[in-house]
Amino acid sequence: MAMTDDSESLACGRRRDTLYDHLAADALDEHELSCPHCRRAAADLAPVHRATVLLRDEPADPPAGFVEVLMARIRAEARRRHRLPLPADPPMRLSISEHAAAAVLAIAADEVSGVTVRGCRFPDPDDPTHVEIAIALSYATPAPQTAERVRRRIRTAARNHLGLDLRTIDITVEDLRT
Amino acid sequence: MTEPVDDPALVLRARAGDTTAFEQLVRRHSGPVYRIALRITAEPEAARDAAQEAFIIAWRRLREIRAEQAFAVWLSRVATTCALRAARPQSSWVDIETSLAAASPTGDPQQQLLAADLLAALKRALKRLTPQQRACWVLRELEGLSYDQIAEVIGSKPAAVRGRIHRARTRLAKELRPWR
Repeated sequence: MAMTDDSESLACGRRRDTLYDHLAADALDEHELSCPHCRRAAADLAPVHRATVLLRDEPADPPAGFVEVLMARIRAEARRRHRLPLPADPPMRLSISEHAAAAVLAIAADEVSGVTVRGCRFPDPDDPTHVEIAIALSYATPAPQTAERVRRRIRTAARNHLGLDLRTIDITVEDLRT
Repeated sequence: MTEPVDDPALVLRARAGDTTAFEQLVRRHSGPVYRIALRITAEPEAARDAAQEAFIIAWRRLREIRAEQAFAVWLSRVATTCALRAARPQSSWVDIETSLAAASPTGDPQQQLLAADLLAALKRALKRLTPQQRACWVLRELEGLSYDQIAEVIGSKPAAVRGRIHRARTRLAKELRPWR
């Protein structure tokens, strides 16, 4: 019989990964405790399991400053996105970072039932009245009506939270979810 | 105290450019991401670089997460890809035998020494696996992912993952034969 040491099942038919799972759970069944094939394989695998537990328990934390260095790089990337002018009475000037403004609108749009926001941006740095939003819809949601609800919600949020009257709201449905 | 915000809500905010929300995701997941990178590359410096790279790619590609997809699994995929790219065939494990013996809280010295030797032997044996085998083994045995999740992470089929983990264990069992 050409059953090699390396095949996924033992000569008795028991799968080696089943045996290993039972070994790891300290729950070998009656067959595995009495079958000579299983007992030999379990003896082979026992040191692997013992060593695996040791490695799993070994601390492996990120080095000090990991998050700080990383976030400095990420914030530098984010800053490259622009700032938008907001309406204000002169001589006062008011601006908001593009991503903060987009976040306000994304959160508002996400509240519409059946809608998940994929992304939101002001494509033109000089035009705070033009917004692009990408969404996924749940399958049962009628796209045109939902898009209209998203549009209304965004327009209201822009007016109430940012003081902006949006002129163009481009909506892209990127995905339908079941 | 405010309620901890769940991953999908943070992903939504981060997608819109909120770096503070992303920082919360980083703090929550940097442990597993670094661990995956360290176990696959076997070098702390390469692991740190791969883990940083993974989060930067994640930041740029947040839009690609599908609604039904768990952020943690998606991130494991990015981390594994970065770690495999960084893993060199001749990577050397840091020798932690002494530090482990010192840190081990219980048992007699003889037992501690045995454990340290066994752990060192496992690390040597892991280096002899192919990077793909090692990645599958790490995700299964150290991170506790299912075969289906690993298949998604490495872009393969569950049966192929099962086969790789089987071959990894067989190889490790051979290397650890003296410890039977």
